[in-house]
Amino acid sequence: MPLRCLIIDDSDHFKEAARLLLESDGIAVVGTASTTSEALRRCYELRPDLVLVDIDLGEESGFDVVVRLCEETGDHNHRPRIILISTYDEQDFAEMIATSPALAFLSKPRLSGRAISEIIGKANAG
Amino acid sequence: MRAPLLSSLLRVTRPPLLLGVVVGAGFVTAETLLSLLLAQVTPASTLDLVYLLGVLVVSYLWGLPLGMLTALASGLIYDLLLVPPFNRVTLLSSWSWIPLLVFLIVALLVSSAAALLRTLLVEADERRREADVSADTARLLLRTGQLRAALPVVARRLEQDLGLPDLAIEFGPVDVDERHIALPLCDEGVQFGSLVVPADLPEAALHRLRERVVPSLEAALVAAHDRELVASALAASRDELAKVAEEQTALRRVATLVARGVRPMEIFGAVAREMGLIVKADHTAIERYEPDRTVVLMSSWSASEGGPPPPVGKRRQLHEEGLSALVLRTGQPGRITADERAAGELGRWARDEENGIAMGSPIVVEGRLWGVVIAFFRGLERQPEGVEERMRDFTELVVTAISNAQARDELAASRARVVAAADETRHRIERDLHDGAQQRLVSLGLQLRMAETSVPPELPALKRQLSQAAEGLTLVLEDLRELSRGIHPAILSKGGLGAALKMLVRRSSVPVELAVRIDGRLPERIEVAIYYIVSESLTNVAKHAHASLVTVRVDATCERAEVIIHDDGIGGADPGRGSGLIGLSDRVQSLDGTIEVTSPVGDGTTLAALIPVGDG
Repeated sequence: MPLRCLIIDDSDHFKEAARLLLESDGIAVVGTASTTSEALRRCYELRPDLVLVDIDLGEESGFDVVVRLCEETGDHNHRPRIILISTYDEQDFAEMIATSPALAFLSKPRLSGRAISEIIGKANAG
Repeated sequence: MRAPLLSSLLRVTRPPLLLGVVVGAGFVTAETLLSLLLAQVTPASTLDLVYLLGVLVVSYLWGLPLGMLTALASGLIYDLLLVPPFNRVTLLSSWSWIPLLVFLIVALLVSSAAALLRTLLVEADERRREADVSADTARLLLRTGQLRAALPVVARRLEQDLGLPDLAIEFGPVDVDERHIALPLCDEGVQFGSLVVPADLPEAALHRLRERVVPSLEAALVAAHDRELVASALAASRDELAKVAEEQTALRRVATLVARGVRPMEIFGAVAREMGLIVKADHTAIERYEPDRTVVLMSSWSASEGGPPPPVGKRRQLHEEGLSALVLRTGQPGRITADERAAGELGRWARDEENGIAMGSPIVVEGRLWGVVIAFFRGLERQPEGVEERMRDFTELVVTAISNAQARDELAASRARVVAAADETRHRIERDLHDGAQQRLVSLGLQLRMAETSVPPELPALKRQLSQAAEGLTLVLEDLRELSRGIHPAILSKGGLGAALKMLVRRSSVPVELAVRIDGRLPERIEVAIYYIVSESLTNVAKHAHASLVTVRVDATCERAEVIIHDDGIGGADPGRGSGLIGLSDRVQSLDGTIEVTSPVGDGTTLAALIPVGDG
């Protein structure tokens, strides 16, 4: 059964491109969201295995979304894996990424099914 | 020795008459003995000359009658003893009375000459003494500071020098009792005073006073009076000069404050105080007109300690009949008599003090009536003179201070606006790049990679080309990301100053020790300023300093933010060169902050910036 993925990003272009790419890589994109509240609702409805969260959501912050998602999606075992994504350099946000409960950071241009698998594999191994 | 002898010879009173008779008899006896002796060697007919000495002395000292008596006695004795026939008076002999008569005539002439000489000598001495007295009087009168107080002293001196009792000098005509008479003292025919003398003074003394003492006394008194007038006029003009100098000094003190660009509130305080002292007001105040017909107290001063002054910044309604309203209505300097109606105008004071005069001078800044300078004078009897002009001088300084402050504020505000507008533009460009071009390029990259995976294996060239295009696109994205970061650091708005500074430290090519202490988030423009200070400094260090370590310390509270950046490089940086530092200076000054660079050659460079945080 493929990974069920939710993409949270305020750029429609990116969401569409990412969906096509991930689906072709065998990951099922079950939904998308642009804002914090929409993200929480979608997550609650869809129960995805994986959530990709853009750091920059216009007025809102992806870091806040990650924290809210962790707070509101129950215990650790049922919590989706969360990966932060951005066009910004990881270096720019190093401290914030390190203190975030997200699993990892993935640069948007590097997004692929394989990159996600590697992150999850590493997380499982750790 | 000469003086006592002379003065005894010149005594006005003659020695006693009896003494004169004795002296005369003595002279005649001695002269007769001398003549008898001389008669042995000289013809007796020439010896009558010997008797002339006695006649001379007695005439001089006891006057003509006794002198004549002595002459007669001398003639008879001479006739009796020295003219033959001896021991017989030959006066009636036909031939001998002629020499005796000649002797008597000569003796009479000698006596007269001696008596006249004495009179002349005595008079000359009197004149000399009168001259001395008038010189003394003039000296006394001209030296004194207080003419009236010197009059009794001069009178005593006259009494002493002229040997007269009970003299007095008075200004103006005086009423005298029957025991005194008043000799008028005149200047050009107008009586200005009197010399009061005893009524029983001998006529001669009175005459002498009138003829010879009064004229010199008049001259001395007139001169002394003129001198007193000139002295008081001089003193008045000296006082006036001192006042002008004092006023100029006060104005200069305030002008110096204005020139130094001291805060207007401080200048208002100085003007209220200095002006109050110069115009001798009881209270002064400066008020600012507000659009809603209220006034705000900008400063106040009070000559006396009367409890705490009204608080600066206190606002009150404009009292329609009061001074501030009058000046607002006319736009001109105004003066009112402050009574119950105007109580509100002068705040606390006029309520305490019953009445007074209040004067107001309008403060007109760039054609607009800004406020009013007020001076209050307690009591109604004192009409303050020349106050308007002085108030105007001080008011002009207030106007200059306000204009300067407004110009400074406008400059600072416009600089702040320029910096803020530039920041906002950069922020927007960065956002536009991020949300537009970058997202599209990322999406395009993803599509390229997807296309790459869907190319069948039998077309390796196409696959390779697509892969290269995707790689190229990634490089473009990285360039764009770098460019965006330079335009505006997104991390600053997302993660705050601390995170942004850490990012700068990570990117610095020179090792950095960072110490940041910030109470919560600072206003954005201050965060941006501090970010650029650190960013620009680190860039400069990397480019020029040849440093091995940089320390960055940021200390921010809700009141002020302090940034100190020090490197251990070669120093010698010139803050005037390099537009980066100038840009920083503009940015910091637009926030009312200061920035200072010290860079001794060989001893590293230190930049210290201090920015007030305030309420944002």
